[in-house]
Amino acid sequence: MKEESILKNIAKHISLTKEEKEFFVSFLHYKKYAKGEILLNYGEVSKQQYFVISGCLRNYSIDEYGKEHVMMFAQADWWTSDMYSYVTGLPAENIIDALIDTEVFEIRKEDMEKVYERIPKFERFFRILFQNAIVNNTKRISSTMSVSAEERYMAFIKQYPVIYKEIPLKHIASYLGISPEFLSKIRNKIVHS
Amino acid sequence: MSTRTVQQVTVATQVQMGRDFIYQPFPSHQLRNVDPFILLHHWGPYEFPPNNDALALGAHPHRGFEPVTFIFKGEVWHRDTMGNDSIIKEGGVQWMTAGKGVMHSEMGTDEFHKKGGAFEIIQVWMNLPKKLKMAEPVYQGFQKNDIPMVTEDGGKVKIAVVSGKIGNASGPIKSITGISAYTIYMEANSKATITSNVSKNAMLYMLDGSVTVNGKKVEEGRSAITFNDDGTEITIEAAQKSKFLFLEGEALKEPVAQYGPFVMNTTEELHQAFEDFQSGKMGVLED
Repeated sequence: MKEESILKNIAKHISLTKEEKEFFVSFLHYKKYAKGEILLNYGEVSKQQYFVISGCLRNYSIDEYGKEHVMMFAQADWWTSDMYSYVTGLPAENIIDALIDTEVFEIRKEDMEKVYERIPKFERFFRILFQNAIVNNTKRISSTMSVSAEERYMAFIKQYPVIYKEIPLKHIASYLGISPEFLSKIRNKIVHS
Repeated sequence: MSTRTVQQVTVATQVQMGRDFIYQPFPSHQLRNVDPFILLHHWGPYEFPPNNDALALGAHPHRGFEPVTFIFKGEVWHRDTMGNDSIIKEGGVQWMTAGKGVMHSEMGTDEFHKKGGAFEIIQVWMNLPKKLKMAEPVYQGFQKNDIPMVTEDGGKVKIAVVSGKIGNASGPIKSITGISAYTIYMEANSKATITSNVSKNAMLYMLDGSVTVNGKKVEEGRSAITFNDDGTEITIEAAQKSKFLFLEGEALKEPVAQYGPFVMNTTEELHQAFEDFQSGKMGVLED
């Protein structure tokens, strides 16, 4: 059963009764996205959160000179959304697409509210998730200012152990804020050391 | 002639563009745009050492507007999917009508990378009206010597007419929307007078210097100066050596939808531009 994966993820922080599980699962929408397919385009309002069952999503923006800037990757067992648009209801400034063939559960914002009302434990679940997201974002910002690209790449591998081999080098370079050529040099150095 | 009063002075903020830090007076919270001019990026002035990697804007697409680069110091190597391969040096201009879509790259030259030196450019995005957004792409590149220079105040003021006309001097650029663009170089204690068209939007961007513009003091470099629609004459009195870009164009008064390298009227047209780029309809350019 596909729902097992998401229920297992939730069980990391809260325990649900059988009825609560059934109620929550009734709001999940299973979707498959092919490599390159867009889940959320810029200018659209993000009305749902995504839980990745398998594959990998990318959240990124494009600057005036066509350069892509990857904000995050979401691999299996991760939650993601465009939080800016999801929370404010304003059009998204980022794009979410499938980097490889990806399976997700989508849950709509209005359905999430129903879940919060009926099962307040979910407030705790997402509080922990958001706390972790804030800690990770803070670490990401401070590390781009003070940590070497090599160390950041090592941290990336640790953070994305499942997927890092499947993500094209240019996207990882964009996430780390360095050129693909420089990342290639770092990789070679690591292999030969 | 009546004086065109200053509406606003906006000092550029520093923004990070990939690895580079550049200056952007608009779009910003203080100044959304100066219709039809929607973006101004000021790179430099930088002093690059020998063996540098100055300017690395690899192959990327544009649609729906005209990216125009004024080279004040250094040189820029432009290539595009129309087959143009053009190095423009100090005092020159690269004016590209992206229209329906084109890929180009803007890089430092091999020679500049080797030798190093001073580098300062401005890129302006000039919007196209709905009826011209899908026009055929065109690239116009001109060196300093191709651009007529008008002098004022006994030679203490030099005005390079890139596009438009001052007296008998006509700029080499053929602007499909009737844009006037001049670069202005003033010595200390000099005075320049520019006649603008009251029915068009006009602006000055002061790269560096200290001046009084129609009675308004502007003492900080990297300032965009916009004007009210109440007159024609713009008088600049320079207390110090000063350098400007003057732009004038007819306001389009159309909705602007911009994302990344595309400027259209609606979000749907932006999505279409993105799809067309990804499916190769804007051509392929190797880095």
